[in-house]
Amino acid sequence: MKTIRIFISLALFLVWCLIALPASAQETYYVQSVKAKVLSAPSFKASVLGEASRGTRLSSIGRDGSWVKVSFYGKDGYVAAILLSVSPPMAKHTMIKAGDSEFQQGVRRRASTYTSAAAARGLAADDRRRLSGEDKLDYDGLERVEKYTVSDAELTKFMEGGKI
Amino acid sequence: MRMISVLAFLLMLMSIAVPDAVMSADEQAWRQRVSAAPPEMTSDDVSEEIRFGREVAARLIGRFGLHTSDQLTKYVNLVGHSLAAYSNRPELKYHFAVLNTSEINAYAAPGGYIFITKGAIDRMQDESELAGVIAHEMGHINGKHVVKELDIKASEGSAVSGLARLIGGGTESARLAFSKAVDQAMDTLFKTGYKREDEIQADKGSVMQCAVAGYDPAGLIRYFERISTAKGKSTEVLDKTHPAYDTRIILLKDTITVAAIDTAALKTHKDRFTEAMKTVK
Repeated sequence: MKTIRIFISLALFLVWCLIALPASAQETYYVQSVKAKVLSAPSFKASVLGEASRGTRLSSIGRDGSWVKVSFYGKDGYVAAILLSVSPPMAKHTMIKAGDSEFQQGVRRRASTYTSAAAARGLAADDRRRLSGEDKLDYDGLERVEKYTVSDAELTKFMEGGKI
Repeated sequence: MRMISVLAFLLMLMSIAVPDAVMSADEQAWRQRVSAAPPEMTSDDVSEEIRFGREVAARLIGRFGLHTSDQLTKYVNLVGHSLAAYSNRPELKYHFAVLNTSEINAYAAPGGYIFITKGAIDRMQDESELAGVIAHEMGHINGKHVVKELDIKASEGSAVSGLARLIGGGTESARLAFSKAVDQAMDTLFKTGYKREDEIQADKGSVMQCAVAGYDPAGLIRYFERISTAKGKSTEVLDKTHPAYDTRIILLKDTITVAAIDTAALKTHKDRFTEAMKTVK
């Protein structure tokens, strides 16, 4: 009789494991985009349950193709996977500022080091190509690209005008 | 007693077999991915990625030069930043620019640098096509395709680690490793192309990113259909480094179908694109 009780307990424990295991597959995701729609099904045609803003923590209960199934205010919802990450959003990394000139000098110094080193040991194919016109470096152009900005007001107007 | 033993054995078997059986293939893949997920990037890794990307970007600009139209640069930036609002890498500041070449192509450098050639823009007919191409390039950056391939991170173990050390005067071998990695990145862009699975991921990502931003993701299909007929040198690099157009178009259509995207309900912004192009010299 005692053995039967042990086996029944064991059986109940195993059944509990079966129920509990899928729950242990829960994973936390964080919204990375400015906002993310939570839909009722993994489809853009599904109804919108709500919207989660950047940094919102969502418990994932599975994956369906390009969608992550999440628990959202007690309901099952779906968010496009490209809007989520398993880590909280990181702070914006601005372009290198303090070390910028140092960086550029370093790069130029590196380039000249290359020239001398290459000259010393004879030019390898990669070095010849690097020193050819094909792969010249344009840091002034890069700086123009990095400094170019559109204002928040312009962007908001553009996005709202295009219903983006 | 024997029956009890059999029952216990069956229950043990169930405990092993059932969890996999009740999971769909997607769920299994997801769990596998989650359990195998590498440690997330540190802030230093992101800085390293940006520094590396700057070098690649400087070479791209050095090769082609920048298109000088302010209006075109502004328009491409507005479209690009509209998409960036739906990026999963808010830590990056994206930069968009037009390369002054008739070659039909677009390039991404790690850290958020995206370039579209003037030749590519000349072949586009609406804003959703431009958005599709930008979102594809953003997919390469967000998927960290070059970063993973070349193991670019700040840690000591990375082959291309510690650019900061190079700036302050590193060893010759460290300099060589870094410059060789930049060469490899350029080769990926101009000769060998990304891995096939990376291209597929970027195409799928483009569909989803365009759709969440409100752009018709079929814009990329229309663009591919148009440039697939282009002959000559203008698509030489693109053809060499990317999967065949028909394969990509099938994948894009499948992705749109599976995600149940009503493309007709989303925006192409043809008028806005046409208007913007009028201002370009």
